[in-house]
Amino acid sequence: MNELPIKWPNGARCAVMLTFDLDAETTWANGNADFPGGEYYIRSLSLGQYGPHRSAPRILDLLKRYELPATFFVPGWVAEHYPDIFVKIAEAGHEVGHHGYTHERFVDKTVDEQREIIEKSQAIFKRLIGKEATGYRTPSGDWSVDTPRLLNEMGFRFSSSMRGDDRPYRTEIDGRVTDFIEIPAHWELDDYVQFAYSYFPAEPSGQARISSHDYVFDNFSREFDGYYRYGLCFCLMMHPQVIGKPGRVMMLEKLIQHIRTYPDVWFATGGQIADWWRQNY
Amino acid sequence: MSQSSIAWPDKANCAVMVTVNMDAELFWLGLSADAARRPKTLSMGQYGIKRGLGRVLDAFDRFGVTATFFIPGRIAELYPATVRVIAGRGHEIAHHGYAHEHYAALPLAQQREEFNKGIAALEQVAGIRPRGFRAPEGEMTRETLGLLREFGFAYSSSMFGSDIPYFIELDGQPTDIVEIPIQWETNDFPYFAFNYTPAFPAGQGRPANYSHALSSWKGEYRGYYRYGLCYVPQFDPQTIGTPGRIALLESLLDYIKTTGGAWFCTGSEMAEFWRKNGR
Repeated sequence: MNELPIKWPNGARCAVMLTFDLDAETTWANGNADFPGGEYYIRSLSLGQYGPHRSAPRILDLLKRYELPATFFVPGWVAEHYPDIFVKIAEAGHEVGHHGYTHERFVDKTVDEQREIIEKSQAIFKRLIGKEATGYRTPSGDWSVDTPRLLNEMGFRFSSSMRGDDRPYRTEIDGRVTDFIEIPAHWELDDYVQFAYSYFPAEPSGQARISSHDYVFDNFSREFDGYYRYGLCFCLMMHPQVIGKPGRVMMLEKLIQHIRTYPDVWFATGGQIADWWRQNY
Repeated sequence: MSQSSIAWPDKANCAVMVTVNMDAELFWLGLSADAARRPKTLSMGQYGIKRGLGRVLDAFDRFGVTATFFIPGRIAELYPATVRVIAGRGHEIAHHGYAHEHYAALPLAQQREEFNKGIAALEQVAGIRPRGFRAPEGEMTRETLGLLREFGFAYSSSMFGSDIPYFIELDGQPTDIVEIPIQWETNDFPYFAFNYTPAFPAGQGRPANYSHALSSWKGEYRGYYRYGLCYVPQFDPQTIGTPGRIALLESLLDYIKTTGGAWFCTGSEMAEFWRKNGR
């Protein structure tokens, strides 16, 4: 149960993977589809549109000022409809990962449907930035038991979809330990769980109050302190439409400043962390 | 100054029984059978076994706490080495059903069957006959209490109706089975557990603030200390065992130890004390 400390590059004590799921209006459009006539709704979509319009540039600016790499998981539909910001993200040196086409629930799709979604988005990535994604985060909840096998077969190198660890691991597929690396995320490190809000459609469904900035800073920074203490991989899951508000992005900056008070932290993209893990573990 | 009317051992001001619920993925399977095809959902529970538990055990060692672990039989079957480690580190292992079932939904014969299977699994894996029982998060019936007598349990820690132990009544008569009550406000799961599908909490409230949760647990402890009661916090390794939250458990235990004057006990020790001294 007590394992050896993890070896990170250049003697770093822990790794930090900043991730941004640039869902834009896909999640709201999916939710609206549950209502008769929901395809004509426009107001909730604007909650999502705020992400690529206003938040993403602000986040890119923040990352540039602190010289930090990040990983953006972008549904193919979003890349297609916001090509300028998508290309800017890639040109700034950040990694773009696969996140479905319209943020589909993979657990409810057949393997063929999953393959089709993956190929469709990869073609868009290839057209816009000249390369396909090698990382994947499952949209909306769970993937199916077949998804890891499919991703591995299709040449993906890592995923950040599971919850069962606080460091990367090699994914076991059909009883075999593979090179396909999982970098787990956590609900307690997800801004959406704490902040996302809408009256109609109701988000969250029980209409819980919006968490305060201080409250979430306290949770995230306490978790980071723990990840640092144990030398783990702190994978922060954010959504530009949520964290990119003028005040919340300042909270994120404060969190980055907090993390940077520790000297030996390795900020890296999903691809870099996965490569390190594959080479060393 | 304690206002306790109970003469706790060692002239203590109050009693503290630290408990752990080892539900792992059974919690999520109990919430929705559909979780079986949701690897990510199940992995939240598995995290408790894989990472959370080691930190919890280390915290107990560090503060010298012997705790009581409520373990479903199915968990003992799935993770036998883990359960043996818990027993090997000196903690008490108690019965928590077989597959974390909702007892009130089961006819008596099936409740009895789940008791049999749950107890047998603990006996087989850890070589112990559990003396205590905690109902899984669902409901229970008076028939469930009857099973406690039938199976010879010394205590239960399932009810909410007091903040000191009491003798369970069956058929209008007090028995010598001790109930050691629990409270939701000193259980980490309602504060921190979260999932979208299957949804927990049902109303999708936000996970609590860490500092506020810790402050509530310490605040309740101050009350139990002042009134001389029996403080029974509950933790699940999948929620308390994250890198950041384990520090909350450590801080709480440090607070109780530093305050002094607490009698730390296991469920069996409390049951024995109450049988001799309780009313």
